[in-house]
Parts: sequence; C-alpha cells; structure tokens
Amino acid sequence: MASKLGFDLEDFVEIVRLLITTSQSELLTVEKELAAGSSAGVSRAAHSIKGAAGNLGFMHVADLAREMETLANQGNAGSMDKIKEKAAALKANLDLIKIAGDKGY
Amino acid sequence: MDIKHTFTILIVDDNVVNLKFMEKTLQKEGYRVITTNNGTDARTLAMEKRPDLILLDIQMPGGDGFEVIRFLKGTPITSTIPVIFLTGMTDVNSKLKGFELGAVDYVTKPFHPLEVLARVAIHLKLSIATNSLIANQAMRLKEITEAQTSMLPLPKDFPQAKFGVYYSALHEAGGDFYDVLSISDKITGYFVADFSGHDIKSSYMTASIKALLAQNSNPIYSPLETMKMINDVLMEILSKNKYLTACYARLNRTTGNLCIVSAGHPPVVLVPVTGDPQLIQVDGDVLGMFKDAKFGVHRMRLNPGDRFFIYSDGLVESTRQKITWNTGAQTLLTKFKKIRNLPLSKTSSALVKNLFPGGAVPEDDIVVLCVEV
Repeated sequence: MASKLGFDLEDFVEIVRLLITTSQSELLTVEKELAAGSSAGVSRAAHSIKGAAGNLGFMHVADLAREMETLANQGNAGSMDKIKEKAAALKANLDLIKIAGDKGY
Repeated sequence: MDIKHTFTILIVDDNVVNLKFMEKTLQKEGYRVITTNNGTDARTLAMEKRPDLILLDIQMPGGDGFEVIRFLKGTPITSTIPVIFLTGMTDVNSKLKGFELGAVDYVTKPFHPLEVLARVAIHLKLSIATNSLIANQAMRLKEITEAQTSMLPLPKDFPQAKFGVYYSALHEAGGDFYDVLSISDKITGYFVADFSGHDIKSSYMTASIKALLAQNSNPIYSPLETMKMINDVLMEILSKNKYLTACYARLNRTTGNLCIVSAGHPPVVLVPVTGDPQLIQVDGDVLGMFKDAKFGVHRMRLNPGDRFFIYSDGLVESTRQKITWNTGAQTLLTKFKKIRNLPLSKTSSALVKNLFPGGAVPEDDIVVLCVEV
C-alpha cells in the first residue's frame, strides 16, 4: 500500500498511525453523540474519516464512513441504529489496521 | 522566480491526516511545506511567508475555504499566488465557486499523491512563465525608456548649440521628443515634437523621426522641406488616430537668422536681451494627418544674447482647468520675465517650477528647450 502511494514504509506507518488516532477520536465523539440521542456531529466526523482513509487507500474504511455520513445526513430516527452499526464496524476495522501496523504491515 | 529557488507550498486542510499526507508527499519531492488546519492562520501565513502555491481544502467548517480564497485574491501581496483547491468529486457547485473566486485548479478527494504533485508542478511552471512575461514586459519598457532618454541629446554633448532643456515623461514610454542637430559649424536645428498618444508605439515613432531628421541634417534641405518629408513618411506609417505637432527652428549663428517651421505646435517664445518676451505665433497643420499639409513658416533676425523657447503643450495646457495652448501660452510671457537672467542650464527647469509650484503634478509630458544666440 505504501509503495502504491509512493511513500516509504516509515512515512506510511507514521501517517496511518495518525489516521488511527484521529479516527478513533472521531468515533468517540460519534459514540457520545449517539448516546445523547443526537447525530449532529456524526456527519462531520464520518466525512473526516472518509477523506483520510480514502487517501491512504483504506477503501473499506472509507466506504463505511461514507455510509455513516449518508445516514447521518438523512437524520431519520431509524438511522441511529444503523449509524451505531457502521461506527462499530469502523472501530473494528481501525483496530485491525492498528494491529497490522504494530506488526509492520 | 529563480530557477534554483526552493518552492514553498502552503497546505490548508482541517483534516490533520490529509495535512500530513500532503506534507510528506511534497517534502520528499523537495518542496518546503507549511501547514495549517484553519482559515485564519492560512491568511496570516500566506501574507507572512508568501508561499509559491497554496493547496486549500474548500470544505472546511463554516465555509472557511471560500473566505480564504476571497481574502487571498483580494489582497495585493497574495493575489498572484496560485491556489489549488481540494474538493469532493461530485461537488460541482464548490468547484464552480472556487474557480469563480480565482482558484487555478482543483484536486478531488480522495486524491493520489502523484496527481497532487503533477498539478502543483504544472501550476508552478505556469506561474514562473507568467512572472517571466511580466518581468520581460517591464524590462522592455525600461529599455524603451532608456533608449528614448539616450536618444535625447544633452547640453553638455553639444556645447556649441548653446541650449538648456527640461524633459519629463508621464509614462514609461513617453510621447514628447526633442532633438538638436548640427547642420553645419554655425547652423543648428532644434526640433520638438508632441505625440497624441503615450503608448509604446509612440516611442518607436520618435526613433523614426530622429532618423529622418538626421538624414536631413545638412544645409541643402530647408526646415520646410525637412518637415514635409517627415510628414510624407508619417502619413505612411501612422495609424488613423495618431498625429503629432512639431516645431523645427533652424538658427544660423553667423547671420543671426532664425527660421521657424510649425506643424500645429504651441508658439515659440522669444526673450530678447532687451525688450519684453513675445509669442511668435505660426499657424500650420499637424504632422501625419494630411497629405498636402501646410506648415507655418516664420523668419526673423536675432541678436547675440537673445533667447527663444520651444516647448510642448504639456507646459501650458490643462484638461482640468480647460486651458488650451492658445490661451495658456499667453500666461507664459509673465513667467519668462522672472527667469530671463538665469543661466541657460537652469532656465527651463526654473520655468517649469514656476508653472507647477509646490510640486504640482503636470497632466502631460513636458519638453522645454531654451536656446541662446
């Protein structure tokens, strides 16, 4: 993945670690919002994860974030559960990426 | 921009991962990178650091990206910095607005590093080319100004011609012209011309006229013949709305004879050693407009110590005060009394200072040629 983007491994790892840290922080915000019954900040958080993950080639993560963003923009009461599902899936994917990173990709 | 210059890129994106991503991409290709995640700092950094190019996320919170472009393009010191904005693929409205505000290109997200690099490189090349074009144009104008100034003879170069001069051009490529010609040992020609325009073409015209005058700088051609010949050539080369007024005075210091030929030019002022200054009104057609132009001719005898002045209408005309040289020239005579005893080298500039006191800015180019018999 690193070579596809023209990065050496060290730089790639640095950026991916930053992606994980910031995305996990965004997901915490999402959890708090959902716990309070609101999806106000979810769209922005999802948009942010989507952009960063997409640039680095983590397309599955980007797709999940895009779906979450769409659901949040719809603003339906029924979307809350689906948003929670997407958020959980995102978290799991980020954990996997982190583990892979710790092992040196 | 110097070819060996290290280019500085300012990246503005509220997403810190994207910032790091683009920073690494550009740094490893030799660019110096400055980053910020908000519009306020972006404005400050752009003004302080004057980056060579800015990558700007359009979709920052609160529509800040557009405000940043608006600010950059509205601020003189940052207005020429190329801005590439970052936008979502399907966001057509943002793209249109970004271009409208002055951005040069966009990159859609997710973006590939090689695409960012390619777009940055091409816009830096375009920026260099544009700046070179501007620098070349400025150098060309400077060369024209230098060439024009070097075409104008100075009193110290022609001590036997006994003249003083004041010359100022309103624009880089000025329109007034004067020349002093050595017809023979004791015969000198003094020529002043005023073009109707102040563009670059006028400067090429003055070079042409100088060449024509030089060609006729001998006793076998009278001043009237010289003026007619210049008119014939100008009829061929001047465009329809261009003309000039000119005055050619030829002085024979052996006989004291002065011959003035006027092509619609303001009157010569004679300041005799004794007696009051007087206008020598000579009517004639302008140069370059009529094939069968009729030029005014006046002959008179002067005494040693007498002075005469040939000048351009910038000295006396005022669009603001609605004064033409016909009426304006009358006001000159009182000024000449005040300066008649000044040394030749100081007379012309003293006259101008009197007419434009307190550093008042003239509305037109000015030439004042003062000749002493």
